[in-house]
Amino acid sequence: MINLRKNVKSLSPNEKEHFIEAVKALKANTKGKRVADNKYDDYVLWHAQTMEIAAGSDANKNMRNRAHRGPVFLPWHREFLRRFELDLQQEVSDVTLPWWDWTADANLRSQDPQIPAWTLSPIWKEDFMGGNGDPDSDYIVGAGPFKDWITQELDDAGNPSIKDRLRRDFGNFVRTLPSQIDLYNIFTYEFFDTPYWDVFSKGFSNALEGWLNRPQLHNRVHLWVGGSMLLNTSPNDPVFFLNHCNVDRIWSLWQDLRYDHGYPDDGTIIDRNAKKIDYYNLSDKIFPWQDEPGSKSIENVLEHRNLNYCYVYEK
Amino acid sequence: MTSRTYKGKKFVYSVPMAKNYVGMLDIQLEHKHIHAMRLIDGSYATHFLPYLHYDSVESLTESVIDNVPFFRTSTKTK
Repeated sequence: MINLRKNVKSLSPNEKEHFIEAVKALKANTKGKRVADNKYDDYVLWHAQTMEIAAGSDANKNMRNRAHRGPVFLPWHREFLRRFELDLQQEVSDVTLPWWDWTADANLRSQDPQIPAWTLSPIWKEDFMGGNGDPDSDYIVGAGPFKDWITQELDDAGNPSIKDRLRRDFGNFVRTLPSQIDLYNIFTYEFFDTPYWDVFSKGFSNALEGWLNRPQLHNRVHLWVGGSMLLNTSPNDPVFFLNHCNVDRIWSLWQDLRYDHGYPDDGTIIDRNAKKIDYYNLSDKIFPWQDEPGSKSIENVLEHRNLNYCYVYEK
Repeated sequence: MTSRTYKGKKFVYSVPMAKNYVGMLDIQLEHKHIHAMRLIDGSYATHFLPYLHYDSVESLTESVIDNVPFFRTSTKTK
């Protein structure tokens, strides 16, 4: 049966409850852990540590790494999310990832200047993600299902030696979420990405990640939420997955409109030194799961319907 | 080397003299390197805060002090 990913605003109370239950169960699951203390934190470390590795012979990790700042950004996160979703389903079988349409929240207006507009959004209610961090408690999230959430952080050497609390600081780094106009603008990009495939290249992927006219779209959402979402360990905040589910949905829309998966047809991604970039080419397995039986290549994840999920749109 | 204190934390750094310098920066925050880089567009970046580029070494380092758990001295940084 194909998995249906819904807009957060369309989730029933039961669906929200099941999602929270599954996320918490994954956090409590220490038996199937791989690289961290529990199965949820595996995703935190996979994300942070993949960012630590530069991709290509011509770049440092802030120009292009194995999951970000290059054309691998969208395929890598598609595989990351699908793995997370399948793990959630091991805990609660009927769960799928919901998507957060942040452009709708950018339009919210509060009638009362004392009440922030974000309080009107269903995502931040106490029955789902909870709200903002408490400015009197260093922005620790003090309400909702994740008020006691312990995060896994890295030290200066990149070792997971630090535990912290979930923090949010809405609208401090950037005042507004991406708007619908910001989103429409990226659909004008005809090419998925262009040489030299890094944080400065012009194309749909880099625009959606948010580096063109920065900070935009995906990056801007991280910055607007703030706190734990600012860091390379940003999957610590469960809202990470709802942001990226929307990013993946936007990619799928662009693909459908173009009748094209987007990735360069010849399948090779070449850096400034005329060398292939490892883990970036169509036939390359996706890092860091490349040695697992049945691991997926970039080509395997370009058509999301082949991964057995699709997006549901309600009027 | 230039030194500066922000919220009680001292950081020492040198800004590259070459206008077009691209590469690692020597920024020590209480004797720990913060692994920052200058990119080809002249912006500054650190993998600790991967969704934003900064206009200066100072703003980058202050942001690290404010936001990165390892470099926070206390629970009250703001």
